[in-house]
Amino acid sequence: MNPHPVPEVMPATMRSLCDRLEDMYWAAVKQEACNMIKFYNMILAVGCDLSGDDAALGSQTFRKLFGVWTGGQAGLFKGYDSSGLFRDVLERSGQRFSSDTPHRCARLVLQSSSLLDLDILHEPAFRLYPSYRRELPNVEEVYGDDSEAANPENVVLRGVRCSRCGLLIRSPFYYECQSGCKDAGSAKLPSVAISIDASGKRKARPHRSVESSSLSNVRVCPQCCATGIGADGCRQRDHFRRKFHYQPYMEGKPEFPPPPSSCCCYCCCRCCSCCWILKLTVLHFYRHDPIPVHH
Amino acid sequence: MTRSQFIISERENAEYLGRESKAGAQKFIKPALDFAHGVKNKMGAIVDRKALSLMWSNYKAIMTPAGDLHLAMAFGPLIFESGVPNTRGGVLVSPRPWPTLFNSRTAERAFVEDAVGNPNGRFEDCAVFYKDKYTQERGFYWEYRRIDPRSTLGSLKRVYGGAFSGYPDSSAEKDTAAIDCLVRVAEECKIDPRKGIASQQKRLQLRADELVGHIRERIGTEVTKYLKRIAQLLMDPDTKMSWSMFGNNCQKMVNRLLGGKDFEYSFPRLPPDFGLQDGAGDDARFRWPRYLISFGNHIEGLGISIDQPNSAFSRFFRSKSTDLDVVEYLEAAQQRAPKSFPNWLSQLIICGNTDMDTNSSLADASDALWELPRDAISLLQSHLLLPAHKYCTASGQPLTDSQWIENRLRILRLLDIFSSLTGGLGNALLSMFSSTPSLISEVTIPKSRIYGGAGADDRILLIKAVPTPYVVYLIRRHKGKLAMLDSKQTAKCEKEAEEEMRNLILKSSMSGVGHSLRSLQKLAVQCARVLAHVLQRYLRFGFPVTNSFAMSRVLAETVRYHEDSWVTIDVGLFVIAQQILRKTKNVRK
Repeated sequence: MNPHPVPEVMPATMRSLCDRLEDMYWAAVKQEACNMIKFYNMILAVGCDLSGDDAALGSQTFRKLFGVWTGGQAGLFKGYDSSGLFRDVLERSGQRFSSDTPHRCARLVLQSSSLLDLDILHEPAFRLYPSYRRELPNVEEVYGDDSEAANPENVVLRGVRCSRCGLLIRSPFYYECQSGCKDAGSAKLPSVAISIDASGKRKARPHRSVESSSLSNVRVCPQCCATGIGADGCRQRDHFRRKFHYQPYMEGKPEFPPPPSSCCCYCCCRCCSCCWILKLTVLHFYRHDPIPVHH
Repeated sequence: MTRSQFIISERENAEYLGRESKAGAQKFIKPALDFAHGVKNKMGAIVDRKALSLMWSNYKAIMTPAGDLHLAMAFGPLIFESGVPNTRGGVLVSPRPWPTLFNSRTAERAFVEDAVGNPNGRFEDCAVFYKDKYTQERGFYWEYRRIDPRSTLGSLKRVYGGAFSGYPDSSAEKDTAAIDCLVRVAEECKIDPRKGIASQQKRLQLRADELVGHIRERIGTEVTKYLKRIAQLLMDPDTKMSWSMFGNNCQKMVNRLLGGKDFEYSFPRLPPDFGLQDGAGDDARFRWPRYLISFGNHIEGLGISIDQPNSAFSRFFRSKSTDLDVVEYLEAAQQRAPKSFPNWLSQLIICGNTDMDTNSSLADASDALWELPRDAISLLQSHLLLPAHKYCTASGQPLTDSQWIENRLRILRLLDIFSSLTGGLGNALLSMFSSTPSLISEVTIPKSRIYGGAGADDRILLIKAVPTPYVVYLIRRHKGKLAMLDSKQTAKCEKEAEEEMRNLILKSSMSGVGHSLRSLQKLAVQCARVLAHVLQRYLRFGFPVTNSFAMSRVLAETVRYHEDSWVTIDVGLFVIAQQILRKTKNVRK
């Protein structure tokens, strides 16, 4: 239930603003402190071995970086001999690794919130214009019982789409249900059949008779996955596995039908080779045949 | 659209762009116009479509230097951002989603409220700070808002505050008290299946209050300084409050909140007469945030930050990939080209490394922390913000509970190693300055814009232009060995070039380098000639040593203007950087 239904506007002064920010800060810290306590109990229950962290003190890379940070500062070493400052740094750091496991675990957990750090969070934003240079969509090979798909000379390709947002997945990773839950919407997806004609040339054309037996599994793109996994058809978190996309390989460069005169996109470029041209072909048909998006 | 519709006068362009940045306008509009018609300063020139597209992309670079991304600044558990709907065009302050310490199964076991699984979500008090359109007065209001999981692509560390890093020495007792408190209260809050969940949650809240009291005792003073600084910036009449996509977007707001003198130096400047009082007395005189390391008081982007070619984060932002977060992007890059992928980065990606021997791989990963500390610490921070279901083993299986805890512990241990060594460095320096205060005047505290992006293989020469208070930085980024030379010869060649350039800069400093851009350009031409001579000596074939005029034209194209009067000039293997007419001071009043 909303305790502040109507926002009450207050004039901003330094004092009121600082007080408000401090209140918010410590309230948020309290929430995180509860999680710290629970996590601390969990790692102790599992039992953790923290030995070997002091090996980090012998890092040669840290020594090099120390040289970069203090380089050209002759004045810095006047109070020490040549390596005295570095030795002092290692001694001071080494003392921290000597405490017992529970206290070290507690320190690790307290550091998890980075309470005094300033970070910049980068998040996707609304695009001012569509970028045609983005990665092309992934495609998969479809097997079915219809005459075209059953013919071993033919290859039927279909775009890989996200079951949640309905868009084609362009990233090399996506998450797929491994328990066989099917995406019902994938039956309506347009696909492309590539066949060899009598003269031996490969030709691409639209293919629209994909059968229900070739429905794809439920998939979620990484962007949707950031706010939780699962989509219509499968909501079980444990079903999903990450897949690195497999690109179907085909020999030769297929010819595909000329674009309609109204085509204004950059998807009809013919300069690429094999896999790219397949993807471009699929993208081409998708561009001219929009996919229904389920919200 | 006809060509005549693209007629733009240069004056209009200059006015349009000049609102954002004069330097940017000079830099970007000129090549666009040159590209279009090849004639400079011609009024009413016809600009073709390609030139317009170039101009638009350049203008976008000024408008959104960090790319098509939404940026928000996080200070500890609070997030400050503008451009959020229903905030009256102001700044929204909200609690962040909790760091990912649990996956779905461990969260269920520990009774952690899961915001993703909960249909009602997590609601928290948020503050909206805005400027009234009509009265032009600043005000704020509270709102109870839903804290949704954020699709964070990456978290770039700007300031490492060093909480619980043992820095400064004087806070060691308070650190210990907070740690002891956590050990004690955790014992009392163990989950007991015989008791009700509600009563256990209530007890947890009470014990958490006790722990927060100790944390507040330890970092409360610093938190007040940071928040006061942010409040001052928000109340500053020079800070534009009302959001606009072109003039004052989220990226500009974040840049403003980070900017200023507070995080300008890699290590905080010292108060006057530091070391003349006892430890507590010295501590009290730090009236500004006393951070441990600053990686820059700015956002990373074109025309703002100084380029670091080896940075994974820079590559990620340049790729404009919004489908993948930074860890997935690096994993994809590793899978595509495993041989050329840097080993130190693969150590820090962590996912799928659970099958490895933990201790040996941790030693390698702790070494990897220092290759490029800004990227390393940012990657670790990003790991703590990514959702748990994005982690899996090398074979694609989700992590088991023990693997998950191992994964989190690995990140936290690396963070602890980072904090221990940097805390040790901070303490050693402070102890040295407090015992021998005369040393303060003999050193130069490095600027965060230069040293923030420095890696272990880089070399930075800091050359004071005595007697002026200006400093010239000579940076050699590690870009692999020179073609036709083995690594030993490359090192020798670079060392010789560096030495000669250093001598040249020292000599030129007497004639006033740092007073103007012209003098810096002149110096860069001389440096380029020195470099060409050294390379000619090593390569032993006709390396063209061009005349000064030709060289100055070539070098003029490599001049880059950055925010805060920073100018860099690329001279082959080296970059010369200087903040024109800005002094470097070790002491802050």
